[in-house]
Amino acid sequence: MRYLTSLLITLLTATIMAQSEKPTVAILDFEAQDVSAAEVQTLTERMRTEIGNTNAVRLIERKAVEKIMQEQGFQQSGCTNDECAAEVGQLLGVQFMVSGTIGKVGKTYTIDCKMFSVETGETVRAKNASFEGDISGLLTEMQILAWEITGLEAPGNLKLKRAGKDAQTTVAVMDFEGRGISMQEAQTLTDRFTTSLSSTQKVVLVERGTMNDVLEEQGFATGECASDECAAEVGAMLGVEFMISGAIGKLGNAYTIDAKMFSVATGAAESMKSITYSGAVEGLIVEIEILAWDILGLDIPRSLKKRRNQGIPDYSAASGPKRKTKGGALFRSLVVPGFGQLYSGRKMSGFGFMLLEAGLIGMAAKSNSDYTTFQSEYDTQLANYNAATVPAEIASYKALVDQARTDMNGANDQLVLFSSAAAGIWVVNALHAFLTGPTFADGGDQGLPVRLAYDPLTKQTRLEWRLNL
Amino acid sequence: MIKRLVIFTLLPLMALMSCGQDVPPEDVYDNPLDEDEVTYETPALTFYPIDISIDLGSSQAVDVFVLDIENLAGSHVKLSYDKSKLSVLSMSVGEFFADALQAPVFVAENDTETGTIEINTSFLGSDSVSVSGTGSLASIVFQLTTDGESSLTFDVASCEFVDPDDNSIEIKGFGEGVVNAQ
Repeated sequence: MRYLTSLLITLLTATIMAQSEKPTVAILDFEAQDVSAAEVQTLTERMRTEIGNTNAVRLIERKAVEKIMQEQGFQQSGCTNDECAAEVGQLLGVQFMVSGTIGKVGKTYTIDCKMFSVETGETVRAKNASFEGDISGLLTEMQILAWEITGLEAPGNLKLKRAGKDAQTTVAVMDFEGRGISMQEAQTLTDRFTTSLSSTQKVVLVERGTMNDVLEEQGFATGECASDECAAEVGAMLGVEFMISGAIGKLGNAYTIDAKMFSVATGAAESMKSITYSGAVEGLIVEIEILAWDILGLDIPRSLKKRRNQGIPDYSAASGPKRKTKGGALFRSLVVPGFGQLYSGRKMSGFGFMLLEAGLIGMAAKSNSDYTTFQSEYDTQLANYNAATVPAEIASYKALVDQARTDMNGANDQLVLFSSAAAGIWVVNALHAFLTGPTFADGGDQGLPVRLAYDPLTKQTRLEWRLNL
Repeated sequence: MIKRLVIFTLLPLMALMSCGQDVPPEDVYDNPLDEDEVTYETPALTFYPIDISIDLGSSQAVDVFVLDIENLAGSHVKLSYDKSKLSVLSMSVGEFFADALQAPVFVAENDTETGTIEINTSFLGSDSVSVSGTGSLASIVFQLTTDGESSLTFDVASCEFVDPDDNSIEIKGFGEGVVNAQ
């Protein structure tokens, strides 16, 4: 009966192999070291489930493995060496066996697993992982190892889960299709969209490089994967929940942006947004930044709304230099002496006031420093005087105290003189800046108060006539 | 705008305008041994330090100084202290006599009932030496027993100073010590 069952399983495995070119694999329960057997069994089961998801191998069911082992008088937990595993593998008729160990060193869990050929006994692939934290975290590690042991890259969602970002929605953005604009422009705008999307901090984005790698693997050149099906396929490979694709077009002076966010699993559109914009390209950038918030159903930040409302600067203000005023010169000179004169274009007097003020403040600071030194000397000599008991010493210290006081007086006089002069010069400089400040004619138009200009916002030529009151 | 103007302009200006330090006054000299500054005439008898600050339970040495004296060969000093607040721990000869070529005779008595100290210091013999100038006659160590302010005063009538020929030397000024409990 035992041989009959083995024969049947072997035949079944051979049939599976014949049906597909995928290699057949059986996984033995991992060996437990300082971890409970039940937990290790659960973790191994998670690897079995995940290895099935890779679609890269044909996995022999746990029950079949158990049955063979029972017939051979083994227990899974007892079959830990390669020879035993190879023997079981031969009985199962599989090409590869996966075995491993889960241990604990201090607070760190370790997983070591390998896949070896049943026929040759050669280790085909060996992988290991370490994890610090609750043992439940090993579930993700086992899932990742399931992909890696079969020679595949673990999906993005698993990597994100490992990084602790599973709570956020994972999204990948396909380069927007450019219609009437160049591919570089479309990519630039897509990049701006992605940056804005990332700044919402509500989604985890797959990097452009990772997505390009997947596209390359699938044999797509840039811009070729434009259909929803293709995007969904790429999304599945990246392991993200949602894909965002779209198109930016130009019709005359108007720009259109169409973006769609759809579920990779179901293909259903989660959010669709369309924008038509007319105006300067700078405004388009603001629109696409707003779109990123809008497509996620989030409130648009005030800063973006403000930028949108402000639009591009008024052409009349943007052209020509900002008008200078006497008040501006006064304010600047009050803040930094000489700065108002520089603002008015009077470099000589500007730097002159600056140097004079700096010099006077410097002298005042020096006097203050001298005063402090003399004060220290005064305190020392006065203490010596009070401690002296010999008349000659008393007289000597008294003279030194008198000298220190005289020096303090001198330093203080200089301090008052220089600081007063600095304050006076400061006030004079402010008055000078105001009186010699720029007049309207200096800073603005020099000539007729009439000018002709084209306003791109209204798309009209405007005649401006300014009258000074 | 106004706030900025105040911060950036008026404050530095005001700081500049108010620059100037306080220079200490000239009448700061209060060393009781400074003959030029004391309020009494010399020769004089005083305590050093004259303002004594002591913590309760701790002790402080107070010197009895004679100022600007000529040919001093012997002295008798009587002083009183507040016996309810101070106690005398020790008494020793001062440097004025101790530094002389001849060793002095030093006798000091403390009457704890009346709170008076009598100090006799002299050079003996017909060839006795004398000292001149300013110096310490005796050093007394007091201990503060009770909180409060008290004074150390000389008994002017009982103090007597003589030269080698036993002629009396007139002491014109007497300082008064003040003891403050900290």
